[in-house]
Amino acid sequence: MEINRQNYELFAVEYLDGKLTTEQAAAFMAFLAANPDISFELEQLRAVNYTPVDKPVKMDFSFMKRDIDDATITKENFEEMCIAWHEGDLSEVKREQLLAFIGKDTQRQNTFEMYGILKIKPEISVVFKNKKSLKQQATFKLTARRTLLIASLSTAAALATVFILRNPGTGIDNQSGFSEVQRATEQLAVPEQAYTVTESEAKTGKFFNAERKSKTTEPAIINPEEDYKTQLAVIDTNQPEEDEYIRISRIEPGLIPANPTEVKLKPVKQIDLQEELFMAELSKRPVEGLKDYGLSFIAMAENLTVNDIIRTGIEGINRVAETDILYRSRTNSEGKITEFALSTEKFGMKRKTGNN
Amino acid sequence: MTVAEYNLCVENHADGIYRFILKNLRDSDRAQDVVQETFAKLWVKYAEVNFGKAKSYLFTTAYHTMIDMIRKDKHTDEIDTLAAVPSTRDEQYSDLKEVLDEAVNMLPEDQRSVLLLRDYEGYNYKEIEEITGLNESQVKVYIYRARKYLMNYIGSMEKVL
Repeated sequence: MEINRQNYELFAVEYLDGKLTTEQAAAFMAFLAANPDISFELEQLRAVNYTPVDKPVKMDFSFMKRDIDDATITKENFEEMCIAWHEGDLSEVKREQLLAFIGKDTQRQNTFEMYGILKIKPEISVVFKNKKSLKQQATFKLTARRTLLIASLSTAAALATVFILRNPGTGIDNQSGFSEVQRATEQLAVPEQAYTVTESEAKTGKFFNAERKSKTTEPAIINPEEDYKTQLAVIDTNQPEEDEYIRISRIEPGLIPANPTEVKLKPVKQIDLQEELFMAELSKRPVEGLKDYGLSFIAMAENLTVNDIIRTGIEGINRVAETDILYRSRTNSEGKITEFALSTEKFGMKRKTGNN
Repeated sequence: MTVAEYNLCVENHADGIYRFILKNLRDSDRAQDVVQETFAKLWVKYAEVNFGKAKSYLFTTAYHTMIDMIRKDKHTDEIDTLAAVPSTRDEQYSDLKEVLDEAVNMLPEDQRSVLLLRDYEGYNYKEIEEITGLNESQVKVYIYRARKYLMNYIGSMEKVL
């Protein structure tokens, strides 16, 4: 590297540290010889003694190299002392000495004050506008998947609860401690939506809906005919804008007519897509391990059983929370649950449903 | 760090890094490129980077990315030429910030970088050493040198009303 007026300090410091090669040191000496003003400046600062490189000396390029408190304040190093004051490099004793040195000298006072205001302040108005592009899509996808997965679990749990409550034959005690299930039944204060049923839906009984909305766009139903996994894929490929949200709706159990042409979907979950929520969600729950999100929950009105719902919910919980909860049940000849158990390595719980 | 923490880094530090690089390069497109590349590099290693040290990691990466970019684009000569213009101003300024901005633009690249890290982000000498790869003495010299340059550029208090 050629030594020039922009980089010579680097070589000076290296020289003092004895790190220059013989060639570099010679080049540095040559540079000083060719730049008498710098040599003069150095001399002024520290009485520099340029001796051959094979006989290195304390060139003392700057008093910054040594403890600043060792330096006596002079008119030559006064400005450096002012800088040192404002950089917080001076001890209390040295600060007092500097103030005494300044005294009532107006010029020195001005210089001292001037160094105090020569701080560069960042322009807060200058911002990186496209932060969204920096954020990782994988984060969003995982979060969206997980959030929607949780939404589906909530839906499953809600369905299970309502199903159970409306089918007392199962005999499951409402006070059985399934607080999560009870929480999941909390409904959104959003009106039911009239939903026109397609022919295929009428045949299969699939009435699960996820809508994506924003302040500026009309609600768009996301492939209600597709299964849940497909819906996730659609959402993933259409990244949300700010203020967008996804509202998950399901049919109210027990309201499915035999040959439906229109049903009322009850919104059960509204997922705010604003990043703050995602961050909060992420901070609450780990997302690692949620690679298989193939939880396909569809309200099959005709053949969905309580067991199906619970098993689906437990499987989802295991995937999200990386737990290993086992669910077992016994049913009677009518397919009703008579006994079920939840267990892990640490605890087990068994409950009879009380009927049959 | 976690993915959430990575995105938090974007929120917390993208602006500061952008300002720092923009002030050095004076080219918004290239500054944006540096920010993009910096976070791309963090994303590759996000799992290995401690969240508490993420800011330092980002500024270090941004700084070296910027240096690499300058070298690759062969803009060094242009910037050095600009920085080497010896100047004190005889004009009358009504705004200290205006003249300071101008003076900072005139600083040699290394001095400008360490000064911005010092003033914009409040890094201490040791932290700037870690970010720039300069040793602590060099950092200190550059900062002092830069302050003196700014002072000489501005000339005197009388020029700034």
